[in-house]
Amino acid sequence: MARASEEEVSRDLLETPKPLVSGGPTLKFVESAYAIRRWDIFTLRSPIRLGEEAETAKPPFEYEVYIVRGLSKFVVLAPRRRVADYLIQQIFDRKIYPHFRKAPINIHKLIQKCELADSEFLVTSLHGRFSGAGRALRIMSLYGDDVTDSIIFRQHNELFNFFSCGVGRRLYSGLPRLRPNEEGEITRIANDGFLTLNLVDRRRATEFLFVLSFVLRNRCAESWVPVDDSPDQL
Amino acid sequence: MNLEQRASYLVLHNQSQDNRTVEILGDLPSALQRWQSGTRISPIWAIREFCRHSPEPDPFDGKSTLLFLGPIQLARLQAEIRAFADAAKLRLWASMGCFNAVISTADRDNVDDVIQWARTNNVPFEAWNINDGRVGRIRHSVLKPTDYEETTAELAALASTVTEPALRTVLQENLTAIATAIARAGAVYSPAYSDFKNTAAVTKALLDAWHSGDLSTLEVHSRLLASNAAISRFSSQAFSGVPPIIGTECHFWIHSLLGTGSANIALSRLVGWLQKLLGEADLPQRIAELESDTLGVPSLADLASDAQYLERDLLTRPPPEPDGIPVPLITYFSGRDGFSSHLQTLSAPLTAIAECNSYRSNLLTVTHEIAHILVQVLLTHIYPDLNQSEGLQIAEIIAKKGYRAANWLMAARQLLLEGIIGMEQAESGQEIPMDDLAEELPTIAIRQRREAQEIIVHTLDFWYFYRGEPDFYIKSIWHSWCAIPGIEDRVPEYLMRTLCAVSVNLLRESAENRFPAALRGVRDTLKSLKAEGGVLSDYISIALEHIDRIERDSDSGKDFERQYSARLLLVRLVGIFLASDRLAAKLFSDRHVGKGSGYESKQTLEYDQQPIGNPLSFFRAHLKNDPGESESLWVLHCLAFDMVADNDSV
Repeated sequence: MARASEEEVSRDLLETPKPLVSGGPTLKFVESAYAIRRWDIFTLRSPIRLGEEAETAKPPFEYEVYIVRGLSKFVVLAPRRRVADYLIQQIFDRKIYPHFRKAPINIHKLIQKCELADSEFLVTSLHGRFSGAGRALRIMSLYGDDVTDSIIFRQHNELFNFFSCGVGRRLYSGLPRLRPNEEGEITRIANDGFLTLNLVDRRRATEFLFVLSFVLRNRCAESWVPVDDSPDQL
Repeated sequence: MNLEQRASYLVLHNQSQDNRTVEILGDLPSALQRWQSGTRISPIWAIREFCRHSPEPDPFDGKSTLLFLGPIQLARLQAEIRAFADAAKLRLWASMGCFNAVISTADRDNVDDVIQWARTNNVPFEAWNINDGRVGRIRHSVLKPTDYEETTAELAALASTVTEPALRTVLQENLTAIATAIARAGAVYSPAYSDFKNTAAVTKALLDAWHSGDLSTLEVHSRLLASNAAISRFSSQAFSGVPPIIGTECHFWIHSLLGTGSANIALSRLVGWLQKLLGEADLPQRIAELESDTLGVPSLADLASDAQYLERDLLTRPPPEPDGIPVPLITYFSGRDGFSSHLQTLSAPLTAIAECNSYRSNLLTVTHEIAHILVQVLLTHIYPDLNQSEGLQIAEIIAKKGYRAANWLMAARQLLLEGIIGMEQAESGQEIPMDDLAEELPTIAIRQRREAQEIIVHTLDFWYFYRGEPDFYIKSIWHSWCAIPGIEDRVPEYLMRTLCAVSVNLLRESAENRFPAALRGVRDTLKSLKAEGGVLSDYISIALEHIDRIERDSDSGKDFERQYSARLLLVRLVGIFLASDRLAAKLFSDRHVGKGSGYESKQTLEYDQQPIGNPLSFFRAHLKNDPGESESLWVLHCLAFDMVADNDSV
């Protein structure tokens, strides 16, 4: 998410110990995550079911949420998309002006950046809707170690609207690897700004930040998203 | 933010400078009963979250401020201005005007908050102090283009270049219309300001061509006249109801107070988007360049039958060099012109403002008009040019028996010529002897030009803008035809065009299967359309009766099939030379589309900040038989303000 303001949103502003409206959710700071600056873990306490709890489960429902705070950009990591959407609508949008907006990512541009041999990252998966005439084909999905290096991609990519892609590392200490990349996909990025990752440890969190920085540095986020050139954009 | 379905009416009674009152009425009859000479009106639609009180109190009781703001994506107001956090303290309506947000509040802090935001974000506004309905002090803020003086100086220079009496008055009208458009657009909507600067450049180019003798006085006169009508309508529709609102009345009377700027912006953005993509693809120039392509040119027999040539794609070649300034299409709404186009202008019917997403007044029909403009230019390269003796000579050579094209441009001309000769023969029921052909050609070319152009336009429209989807195409065009009164006698002609257009999908099928397959497909769709109802005239029944006759009566069936087969060569011309998979993909490129159902996820009547990456896909998702006026407003606002400009070069 991003917003057109350089005012810092503090952890204290996010913390919402009391509901903003009667019966609304609360957000409580738990601890910093992985000892990374501006990565905080919160507990969202919701009066409605947002996860896969049993039908018989009673409110309030609690969800662990990671919030990565940048100056004008935010990442909300939650076990389910619905949890993040609810948090944004019920807490952020009631407290923070201007509101944060989902930051659409230009997947086409991101793919072009990842195609380059000196790019830090490469594409490990791609999903696109056919955009030409006729309905003989709807969607194409490609998976591989370096999808954009395939003949299928090269010959037909102009005919598709790609809506999400997986990103993995191409260069290690500035050099490519000879053998297949065992570490695979770091994160999957969708054009509506939705990110998917398996957050297992500090290293994966740091890699994730590098990918986001790559996305922003290459101006693959929507043009209204503020970009500064400092390394600490997030 | 959700839009109410029912409109209210904002009414200004402007009797004198000291006697101006404003009121909001729930229905039109109440407004008409109180009408005075200085009364102006505009429908406005409440945003539900900000107008929840029931019954509605009079917003102009006591002291308050009425703010007009725009053109703006409405969802931004709630997302960016803290004043909108407390829905009890202000009221918000949406309008069709360039000032598309109307805000009323009695809270002075809220007024300051909104005005400060508008100033910071360069959003024009006008604020009226209201005291018990009486309009008091008026403030406004508008934009100031940095090159405004330079632009008007260029216009002034143009005014003194022509002394020819036959052109002087039409040029004066042109320059003053452009000056008005530039001044108003510069104050409130900078994209239109840039477009009108280009329009001025086009006028200059026309005059240069006239000075150098490339264009006749009559030609320049006629083009300026068409341009004047369009500029004048655009300005008076789009830029009425902008500062000073009191002084800018719209002559589309139901919108006389605030104008129809949102609808005009939506139309011009949709047309501009299509024009940019097609302009970058530059099919006419690519066709012209086929003259130097001599590799593997087939005989007419092969070109007319071999499926391998359908794989050709003009866009695989490098793009041609851009040629001069882009000519902006001046768009406007017109009750009289309806959907129509000239080289520089394009109009949509006034009814499209109130029901742009209805099948009958579908704004997507502009694609057909754009296809007409494109085909007119394409035909200058491939249709026999009877104004030049050389054009006729080429046609005569091509029409000779055994002629073999030496390049792909001549092959395209040959296919077209064969098509129109076939159409002439099928129509007259007589073979034209080869010896008479040279003599007959000029007459044939004149007589068949309109129909040939229509077949090519319909086929291009179907292939590119309807993505070759027959059901959607047939439903759309027959709904539009059924909204035109008194054209029963033209139904067979329209049926033929429909059959031809959808047949571009059948070009790879065996020749004997095409006609019956097209006929069956069109019949089935027309039948379900008839069963569905909702069309304004019963032309579909006439078309179905005609199909029935074709199938029952072998003579009339054969006659109709002969006419179809001749036209199929034109469809084939489109399939081989004009239909490009790459361009089709570009027209539906969309970096915001997801894996799901596309823009169906954008909820009707709900304002959000979800961007629209492709207006054609968005529009299709929201077409209906009978949408309300509020839905039309919402669709126009989405097109005007949610669309992102993202046309990478083709």
